[in-house]
Amino acid sequence: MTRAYQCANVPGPHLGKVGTSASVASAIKRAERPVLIVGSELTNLNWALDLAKKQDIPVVATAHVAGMMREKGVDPDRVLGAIEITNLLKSPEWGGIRGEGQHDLAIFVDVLYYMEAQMLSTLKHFAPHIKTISLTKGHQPNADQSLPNLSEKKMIEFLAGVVEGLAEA
Amino acid sequence: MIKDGRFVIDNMENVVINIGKITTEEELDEQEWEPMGPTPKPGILSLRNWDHRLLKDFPPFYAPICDMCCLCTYGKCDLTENRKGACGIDIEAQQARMVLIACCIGTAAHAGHANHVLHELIRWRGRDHPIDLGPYIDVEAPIIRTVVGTIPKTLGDLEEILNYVNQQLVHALSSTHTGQEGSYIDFESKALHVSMIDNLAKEVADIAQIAGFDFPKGDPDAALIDFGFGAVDRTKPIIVFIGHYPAVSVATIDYIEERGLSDKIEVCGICCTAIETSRYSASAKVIGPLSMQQFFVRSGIADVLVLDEQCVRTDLLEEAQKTGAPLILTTDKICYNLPDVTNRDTDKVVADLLNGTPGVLISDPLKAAKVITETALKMKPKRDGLNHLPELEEVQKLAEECIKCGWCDRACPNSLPVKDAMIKAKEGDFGGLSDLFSPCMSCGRCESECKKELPIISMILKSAQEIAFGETYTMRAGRGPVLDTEIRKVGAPLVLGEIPGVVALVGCSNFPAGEVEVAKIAEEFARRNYIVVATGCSAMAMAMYRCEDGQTLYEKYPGSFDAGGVVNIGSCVANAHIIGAAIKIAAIFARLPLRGNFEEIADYILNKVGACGVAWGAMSQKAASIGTGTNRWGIPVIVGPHGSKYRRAYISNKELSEWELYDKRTGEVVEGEPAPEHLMYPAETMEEAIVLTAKLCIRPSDNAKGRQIKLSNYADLYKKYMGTLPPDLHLFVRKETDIPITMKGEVMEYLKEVGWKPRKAIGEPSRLVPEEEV
Ligand code: SF4
Ligand code: SF4
Ligand code: SF4
Repeated sequence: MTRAYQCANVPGPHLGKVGTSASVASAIKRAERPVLIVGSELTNLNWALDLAKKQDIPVVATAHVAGMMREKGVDPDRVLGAIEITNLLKSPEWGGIRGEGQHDLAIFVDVLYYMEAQMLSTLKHFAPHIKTISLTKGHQPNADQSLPNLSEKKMIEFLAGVVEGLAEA
Repeated sequence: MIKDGRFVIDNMENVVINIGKITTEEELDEQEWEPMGPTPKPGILSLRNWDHRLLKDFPPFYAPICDMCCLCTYGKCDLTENRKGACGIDIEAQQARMVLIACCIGTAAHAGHANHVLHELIRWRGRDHPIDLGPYIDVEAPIIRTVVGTIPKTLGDLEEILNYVNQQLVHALSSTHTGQEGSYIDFESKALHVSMIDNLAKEVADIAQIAGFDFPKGDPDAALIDFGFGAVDRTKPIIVFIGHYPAVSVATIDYIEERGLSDKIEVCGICCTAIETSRYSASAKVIGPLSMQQFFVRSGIADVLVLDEQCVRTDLLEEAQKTGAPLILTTDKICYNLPDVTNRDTDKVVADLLNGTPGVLISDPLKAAKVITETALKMKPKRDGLNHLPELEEVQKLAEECIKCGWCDRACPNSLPVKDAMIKAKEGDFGGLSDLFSPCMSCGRCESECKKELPIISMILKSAQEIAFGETYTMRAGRGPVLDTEIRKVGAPLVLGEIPGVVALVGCSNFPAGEVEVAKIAEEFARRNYIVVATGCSAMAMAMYRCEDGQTLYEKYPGSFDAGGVVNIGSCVANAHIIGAAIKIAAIFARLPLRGNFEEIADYILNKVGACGVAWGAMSQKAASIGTGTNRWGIPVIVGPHGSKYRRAYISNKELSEWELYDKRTGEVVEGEPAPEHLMYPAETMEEAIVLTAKLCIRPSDNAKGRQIKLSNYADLYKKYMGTLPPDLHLFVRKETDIPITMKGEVMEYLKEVGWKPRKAIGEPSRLVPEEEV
């Protein structure tokens, strides 16, 4: 069984799936209003921005990541604390980043691992209307699906696989 | 039959009898100092309306860290997907219940400390020992005045307050039993209540300490204390006190002085006992915050280790034994299955310890003082020449045993790269290990995970020896309460916003990236003329930093409660004085009556006093109750990312919230602003916390000049870290005159873009329903 990356952080009897590149790609494809939440670990920042651009997914920059994105010439759609965006996502009446309705998929990339675990827990318990994917380094059992625990090289391959999967019709 | 009333007895001057209690005239005066307010000694229900109003504006946000409950034998109960426990509880109420339990534990720890120190001081000084906080503090004990409705004059008076504390704690804790409260909102209200009681207990503890130990009475120029591993003179016998309860260290310093040994022994401390000890004697050394505990013990520098209570590593007996230092326990809180030798002849106890008894428990501080000193003197020569840390060659050899499994990284709360550091050390490059010294909190979780049983903490410390042992810093001794004279000076500019805020750096050292971040937060706000106050581990963490000019923060900035000051208030219990300062602004500047008048005072603070707590390394249950209590008084708190594991925040939702306030002047409901926007907020990074701190200091009471100053700080910091103007700036601009002059052009342009319209500033902002509506 895949354990949480921070190995004591076992939430309970119901654990999310260990994703594959294909399963992540297919969940993103199926989503009508996904949102990408990009945090302070910065490991997969470029990949995330690329994904957002190609798939036209709105980006929320947490912590002070907006500054770094802007240095790269990318303006995030919203700047919110990790807890602020989680709070908005859990309200069914929120209209979403683009005002088109509450999101149906939240993809977390690089939010500080243990804080992300908490935010995913909130969504798991209090936002049944939303699916979650974690592509932050290390397995997150509170996400509906998340990366397995991978070496850096394998993680890059995994993420490249997601992009490939999305490119397939 | 004698009816209720007062009787003056002939020939007994100054004595009046109240039926049921004999009262002196002095006490009668006392009773008249202010009319009693509506809620003296509030019970759980007394301030429930206030809590519910707070929780409406700042609803609880839950992030369960465990999906289950295992508190009774029905359990474990799975609370996911709307499942209820066998007792009927749901996941939200269960989170709130766990928060309440944490707040009760925290309150119990402070109340335990208060009970303990008060009874010891009454034994030393007598019940009639006066509480005198010096000529510059008339409004002493602001929390006691506001909550209890009395003014304590003697140590004995504090006992009655603790009776009330103990009683409230019992009621709050009892409602966490299976099958009691079932509403998360009311669990939260109880958490807020018991945490206010925590604040009260801390005030009792620190007032007792100031009176009984003659600690500084709000001295802005309190002594600069030598700080850090490097400050310790290793040629002398070294005694180290760890914990929070200062009676033993104080008694030991007295014993050492009485015997003329002051220049022959080093007295040092870790965690809050260190701060307390330095409040008593400027020659005591401070090693550092809690995060330094295991590092220092491993260094083997201590000849005797003395533990009192709270936040002490529970395996220190084992660790002390490894270094050959005897362990002396001094309170009933920590017994470690060691023999209680309080009644044994002290010379015999010293002999036992020298002959290899690993540790003892001595619950009488005066006896402990003798044993500690005599043992240290005789132990020193026996321990001279012992080496406790591996040599660098040994570190390399140990690293060679590493199998690169990576479980250390996964066990580490901060996911530090221990494995990579080991791989480097194998090659003789100790840079990776030494880089871990600053962000590592010496918790030891990596070690207990390592299948190769590598002594990772010792390896880190050895690799970082030049940083660890080479530096000496300074910390200003904890000064205690803020003076009335200081409040008189800053009250108006704070309420009007011309001093942009009070930033209170408090709490433990579970930092996401080391001590340096607390220092950087402090520096950012001191430079910007905020009042920076600090307590506990954060006050110590701030000392471990040099500004660009080489000075420590305590050397560079004055210790006065004034714009641009960096003020070490004291230990955890001294946190009461930070809330106390906010209360005193209401009392001295706004002339509000304090007595039994909690709601009005908290409402004043929430709407008018631009203060923000930052508990960047909050770890303990005490930090939970400190923070939650601070919230009940209307002061927002930012915690570090680890604080998200407290399971609960108080977050507004500005896109969905209505910000309605009352204008007390007109009694009307008026459009407010998200100031403050959140009440308890975990931030992900230091930069986020800095920007948010500036924002959370904004208050509806700011005048135009004050709002300009606050907005210019907020906008400037936002730009610095996020690269643009804040996207919520329009929410805080009431009229054009609120716009910082230097940013006028770009702000006006932005306001036009978002369709901003001017609105009225609120005359007397309040969240209390005006009386005619009640
Ligand atoms: S207290 Fe309630 S939820 Fe907890 S184990 Fe018992 S029945 Fe289950
Ligand atoms: S847990 Fe021990 S053996 Fe494994 S990588 Fe870490 S130091 Fe090496
Ligand atoms: S001792 Fe340091 S490196 Fe080890 S788990 Fe704790 S914080 Fe991490």
